[in-house]
Amino acid sequence: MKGFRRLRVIIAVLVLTCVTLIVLTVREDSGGPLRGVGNAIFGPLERGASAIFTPIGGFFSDLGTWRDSVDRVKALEAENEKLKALVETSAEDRARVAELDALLKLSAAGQYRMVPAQVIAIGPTQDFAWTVTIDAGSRDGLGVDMTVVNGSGLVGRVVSVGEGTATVALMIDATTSLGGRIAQSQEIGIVSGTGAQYELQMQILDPLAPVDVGTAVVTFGSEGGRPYVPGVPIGVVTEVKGAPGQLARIAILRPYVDMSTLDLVGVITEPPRVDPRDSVLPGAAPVPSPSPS
Amino acid sequence: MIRKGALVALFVLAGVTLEVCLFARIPLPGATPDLVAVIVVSLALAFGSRTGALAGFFGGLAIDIAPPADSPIGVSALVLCVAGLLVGLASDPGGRSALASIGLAAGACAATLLVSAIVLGLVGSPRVEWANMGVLLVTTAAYGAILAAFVIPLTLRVSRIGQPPVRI
Repeated sequence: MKGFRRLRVIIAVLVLTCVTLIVLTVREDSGGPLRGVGNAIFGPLERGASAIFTPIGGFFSDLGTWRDSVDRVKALEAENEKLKALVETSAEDRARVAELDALLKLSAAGQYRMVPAQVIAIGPTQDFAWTVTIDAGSRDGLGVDMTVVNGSGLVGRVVSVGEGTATVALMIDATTSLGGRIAQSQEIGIVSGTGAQYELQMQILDPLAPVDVGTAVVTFGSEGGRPYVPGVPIGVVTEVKGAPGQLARIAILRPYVDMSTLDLVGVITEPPRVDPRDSVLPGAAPVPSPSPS
Repeated sequence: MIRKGALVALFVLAGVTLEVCLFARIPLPGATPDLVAVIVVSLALAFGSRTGALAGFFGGLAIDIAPPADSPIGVSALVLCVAGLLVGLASDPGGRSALASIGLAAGACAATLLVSAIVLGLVGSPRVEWANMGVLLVTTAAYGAILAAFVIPLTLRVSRIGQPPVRI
């Protein structure tokens, strides 16, 4: 029975530790020293692991047949496989180049200064949190509450930063809430994540404002550009709930960014000096660069 | 003792890294395969309730603090600690069938998901979504069973390294 007494003591200590930790961290926004420890331990591990797991695919070329010089068909097949693998990897490279290109265009249109980063880990669904790890951190100039975008629009915000990694809360996460502005009509509202992948909610502040399905919504911008810089495309209105005049009018938005295929993102380290208004939206005319006078 | 601690640490580090870097990236329907829960179950089966509880605590703590986690720290630690304890108490070290172990792992995956959601709800997390809980529970149990078929034999084999062979 001595074993059981020791077990009881261990369990009591562990459970009390857990409850204390929960109580201490439940109201915390950016994580405490423990998150720093987690970043220090798992940041390098995740960077290494993603280097191994990301290039999976197009790798199963036939190694057993090329030695057989008599059978020309097999040699040709092997060559074919190799070429196919080459084509596949170059397709991936092209996709990355296109993504970088889109990011560059966005940053040029909005005059943001950004740091590119790659998604290396994704939070498990069981956690109910829509968060990802990216492979840039404090040594790349990242800080908490910076805006994260990709070539299509807003991705989310940085919630905690390690030395070489950072955690990003995606805008579809249920804790997200940001100011949004409907393009053209300039109506503002509060956009919040629903936890669903293809749906955002926008509470429109003016009960009488006309809201059309199909109009775009961009970020309104926070003070000092943190956590959200102004003018980043958020999504398109797909549905409006509630008639004009009703107090709680909710517009349902579909985000521009597909969160399931996130790969390359940009972290805006320096907000634009002037609000780019609607110029970053897809299809918008490029802003004429201010000419020196 | 040191060997056991090192083994638990190795399994926990590998489990957490694989879960967020590999399994979460595979576009599977429903839940993410809960490798850490399966590892805790397998360690509890191999070493008993005390190691199970400790492995659950440290495994859950690792999941709670490893990026990109953003939930209150301690929820997974609490849930997995209790899961490890119960699995260790429920299993009879002498005779356990493979099927019962796999069933235990699947049940533990579903139970930890459900209890985590309840605890998160109780501490006021706005994220918990009850609408598709059924899908999550069924898929996490299924993935847990598949993972357990590989992880439990591996853990049992590794746990016997360096120990005298069991005489029957």
